[in-house]
Amino acid sequence: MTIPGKLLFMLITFIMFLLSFNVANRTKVKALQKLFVITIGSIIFLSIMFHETIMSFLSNILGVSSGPDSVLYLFIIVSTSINLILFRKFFELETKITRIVQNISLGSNNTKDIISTKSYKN
Amino acid sequence: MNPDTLVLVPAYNESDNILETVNNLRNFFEHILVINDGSTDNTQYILKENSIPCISHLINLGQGAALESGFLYFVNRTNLQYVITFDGDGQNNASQANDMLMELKKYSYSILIGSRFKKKKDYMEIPFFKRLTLRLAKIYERTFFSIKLDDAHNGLRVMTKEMIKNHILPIKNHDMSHSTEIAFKASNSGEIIYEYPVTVEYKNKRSQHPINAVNIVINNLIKRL
Repeated sequence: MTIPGKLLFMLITFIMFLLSFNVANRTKVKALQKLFVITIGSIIFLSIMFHETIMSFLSNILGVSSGPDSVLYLFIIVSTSINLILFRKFFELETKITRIVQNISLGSNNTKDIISTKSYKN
Repeated sequence: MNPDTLVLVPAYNESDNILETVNNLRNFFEHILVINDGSTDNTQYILKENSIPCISHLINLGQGAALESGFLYFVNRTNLQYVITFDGDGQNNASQANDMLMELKKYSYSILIGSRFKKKKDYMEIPFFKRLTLRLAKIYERTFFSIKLDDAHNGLRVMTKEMIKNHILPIKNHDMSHSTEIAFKASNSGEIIYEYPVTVEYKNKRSQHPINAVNIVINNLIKRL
């Protein structure tokens, strides 16, 4: 792989990492994640439609010996990004479930006055 | 009997220990609240049969979430001034919790954390691998979080309402890594954290495996990002 190819690979991975870890405004991140998926999807679609042109173009940019190698690199980026985005999603869901369970526990009638502190005046 | 203090006891599958733990605490404290964190054994039944005040989570959320529920109850539903966190497995000593509360009140501290490393006798009681893990945890917490404590993972803590309300809540780490978060937030509060020598009894008690330290480190670092 050539140096520009390595730099491109690292840049894409870095952007993906930032997107996954919610470093900017939430709406912007969601939009960028969608753009990222659309871009990658388009590249995959085009590389099927225009196999020779796209494959040789990608392998030239990345400096890899053959087209399938560039697809492999692309696959690594996509699968890692999906994993990180899913991790983030699971973490958010876990937090939401925790809040729901806590609200149910604290909001139930049984827990309203379980500790009687009427005798204590501060 | 410390009418101004609430003792929070997080418990998960502690049917063998919870009654003894609460009875020991009743010798010193009036207000005890058990947070049953989705136990699947008889813990809930024992609590109900013995009329022990409790909050019950529908599912197991982790000790951090259990303590957070307790803190929310303490802040929003009581007019009490101090809170003690006390492990449900009975490893902590109720008399030492009372001593810590007296110390906190005497010197007007905001937070006092128990430490197994203040006295050599207490330190030698800790199983070897746990001792090693706790030592490594200390280095990790000093390096990444600037926490200058010997035993941030001690379950016995005494805190004031102001500390909980203004600095500790909300708790992000719902698993065992909440200890680092509490110590980190207390360190950043501008108040000095004091440690008090305590004994932890390990005999016949369940304890988290030292390998869980790996989970704690990774979770802390990821959530810090």
